[in-house]
Amino acid sequence: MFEPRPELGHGSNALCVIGRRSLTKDLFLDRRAFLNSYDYSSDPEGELLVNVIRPIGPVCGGINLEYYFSRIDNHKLGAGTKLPHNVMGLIGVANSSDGDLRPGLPVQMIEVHDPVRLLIIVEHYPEIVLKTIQSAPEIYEWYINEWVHLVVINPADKLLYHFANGQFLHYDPLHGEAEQMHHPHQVIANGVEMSSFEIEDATRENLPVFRINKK
Amino acid sequence: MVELIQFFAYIPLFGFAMSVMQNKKQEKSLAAILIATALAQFLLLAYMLFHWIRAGIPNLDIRQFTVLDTPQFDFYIDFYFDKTTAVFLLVGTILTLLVSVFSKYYIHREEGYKRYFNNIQLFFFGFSLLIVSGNFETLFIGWEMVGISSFLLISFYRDRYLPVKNAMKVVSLYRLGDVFLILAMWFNHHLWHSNISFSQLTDTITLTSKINEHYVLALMIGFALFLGASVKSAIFPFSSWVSRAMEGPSSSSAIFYGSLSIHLGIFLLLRTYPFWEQLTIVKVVIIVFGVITCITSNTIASTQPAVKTKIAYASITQIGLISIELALGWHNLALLHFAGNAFLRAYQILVSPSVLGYLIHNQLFHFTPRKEGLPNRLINTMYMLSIKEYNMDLAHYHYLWKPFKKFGTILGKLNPQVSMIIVIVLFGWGIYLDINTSDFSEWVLDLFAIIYSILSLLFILSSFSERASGKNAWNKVMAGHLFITLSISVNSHIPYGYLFLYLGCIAFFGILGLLSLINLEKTEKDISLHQYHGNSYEYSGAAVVFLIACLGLVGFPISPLYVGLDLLLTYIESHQYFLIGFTALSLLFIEISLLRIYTRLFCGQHKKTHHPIAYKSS
Repeated sequence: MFEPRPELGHGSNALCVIGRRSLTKDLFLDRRAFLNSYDYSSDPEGELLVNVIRPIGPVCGGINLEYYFSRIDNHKLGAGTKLPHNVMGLIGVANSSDGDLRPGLPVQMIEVHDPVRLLIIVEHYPEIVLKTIQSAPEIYEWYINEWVHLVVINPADKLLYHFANGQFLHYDPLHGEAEQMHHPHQVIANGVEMSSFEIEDATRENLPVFRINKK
Repeated sequence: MVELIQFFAYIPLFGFAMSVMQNKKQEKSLAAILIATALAQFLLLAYMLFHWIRAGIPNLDIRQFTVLDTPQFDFYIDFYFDKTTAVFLLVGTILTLLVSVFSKYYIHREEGYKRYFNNIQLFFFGFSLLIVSGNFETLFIGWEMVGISSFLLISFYRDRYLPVKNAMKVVSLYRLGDVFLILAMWFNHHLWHSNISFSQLTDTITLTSKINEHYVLALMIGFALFLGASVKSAIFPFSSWVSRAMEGPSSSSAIFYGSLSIHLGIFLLLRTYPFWEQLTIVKVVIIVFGVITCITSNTIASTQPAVKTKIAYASITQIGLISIELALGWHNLALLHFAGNAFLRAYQILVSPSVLGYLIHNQLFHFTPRKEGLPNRLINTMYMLSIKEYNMDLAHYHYLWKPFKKFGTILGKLNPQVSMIIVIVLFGWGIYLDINTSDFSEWVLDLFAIIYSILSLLFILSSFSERASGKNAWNKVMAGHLFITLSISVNSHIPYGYLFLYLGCIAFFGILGLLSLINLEKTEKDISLHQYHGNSYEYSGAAVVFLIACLGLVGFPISPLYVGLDLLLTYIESHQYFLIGFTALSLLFIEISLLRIYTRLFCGQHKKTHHPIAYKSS
């Protein structure tokens, strides 16, 4: 804590993929994805899926939410700057002796993180996924309250279904194919560099998804 | 070798000047200048120490240059170098170097990077000047600079409410210490009938005879010095400001309240030791208060929930011990203790944020429950006393600031027209008295001198509690200044040259401040002092200009007013207790009122909400 930067933490995470690893093979995700290996064919009724999906909301969705709120209003919802922080009783931080306890994340952590809600992608039949997320109220609240986005890849027709208003609706993505790239270093070198940061090759914006062309 | 001492003050001053001229965005160059300054100072010190130790550790003194030389007032800058200087300068330079390297990346991307480095430069200059000073006047320059840089660094996050409030608390107490020091200088002037340097204090024969002749006066000097030192070094009952001072970035807190600035009271006592070692009563008082400080700060430290305040009180405990050591005459031990404490606390504060990392594990796995032993009642009493910090802060507010503020509010209720007429009449009468001093008898002049000094105090207290208009508060302080000058001039006629120089400085800074206030009023419309406006968010340049005007009006050593104030006080005879008392009170509240106007107008939460604002409690 006495080294305010760099604060990479869970920097820039945005995606959580629950499915076979072949889904994301050869995709450049810029280290923004949680990848869970899960084979839908070995679990047709979704009994194992419950245990996989249960922690995703609080843990991964929670991470994104805390970065989100700390970013949109760092003074009230975040912790302000780390410099005057005073550790209070080993349970929290406050600004110096009379300050109130600061919730949220400090400025130094959220500066490199885009405020987005987590996007969860599950590879299973929509009916099974619906049954799974509705199995317990503490799981369902994450999805019905739109604290995270949920998209399902139906293995039957390979189409995307977005969870909205309590049901899965067909979703047509905006772009067709991802761009091709040969190696990440090329893209990073061509990208707009971050203005002042000690990390080498840091770009100002997050890189989009690319398809890696191995040839 | 003695010619080198002045450079210990010039190097930081040069660094400060260079740092002020840098562009705000140039983080690298700002940090580089500070590191270079500290490094240059360190190298010069190493070179000096090498030759100085080889020469047998002599006490070096040099009267560097004279600012004002009159028959009864001789204002000169004097430099002095002895083992106290060597130790303090060494510790100070190493710590500043350490903190500057640490801060280079620590303050990265903070809004106020340049402000931070400029303030550290100012502090380093004030500290160095103070340590190498050879007489009270030079010491006081450094003393004031350290005080103001502390104020500016505590309110570094000037867009929040708490840092600004706490900075005002701290600077009020600092000014109290300053006033005690001014009184000590005044008493000293009457004891010696000239401006002395510290090396003259080592002449024991003259000293003993002087003290025996004017024992009461010497005692007053001793107590004034002790009080001034105890405010700065947070000796009981002034220990409360240190925990409130931890509002700045950790690195600045480390260098100030952990280590350097807090030991300056100890430095003052060490420097003037040849004087008060002859006064046993003062020694006893120092030891008694040292013991009390030690015990109270220790108990307070054990009940603190926050790590930085815990370290602060632990530091004060050590200072209690150091003051006992130096009263007993064990100076080598005191210097060693100071060096150890300074380095330890600086390290602890810099590392303090990571206490979470290593202490949680320790507590979880090596927990030892409290042993039964003392009666519960005693434990609970001690706990309550300690957690309330022995009500020191409350006592300061209740017995020190509130009575004067209340008195000021009463004055504000007087009819402004009537009081204006009375004031103008009295002022005119005062000028007449001043011009024709020889026509009036002694007691008439004495009486009117006291009346005018009371009047000036009334003006200043009224400004202290002024809420309706910032301009009125400013004008009242100026009026207070004019009446102080009038009272002293009526008392014993000041030569017109000095009078006009003094009034000229007051006019310059007064008009500068008034113009910036009028300018602010044009765009902001509301410059009342009901709330914190936070105008430094939009008008950061105006904030600096107004601050300079405030400091100039206070007598900060950026103008001849500093010399003028000292000169003015010498015209008060040693038997005129009321006059010096009222004048000292006026000087105390002038700085507090002016800085209050500055913080209310320019600091605190910005009243406009077109950008994110923090909570008042954050």
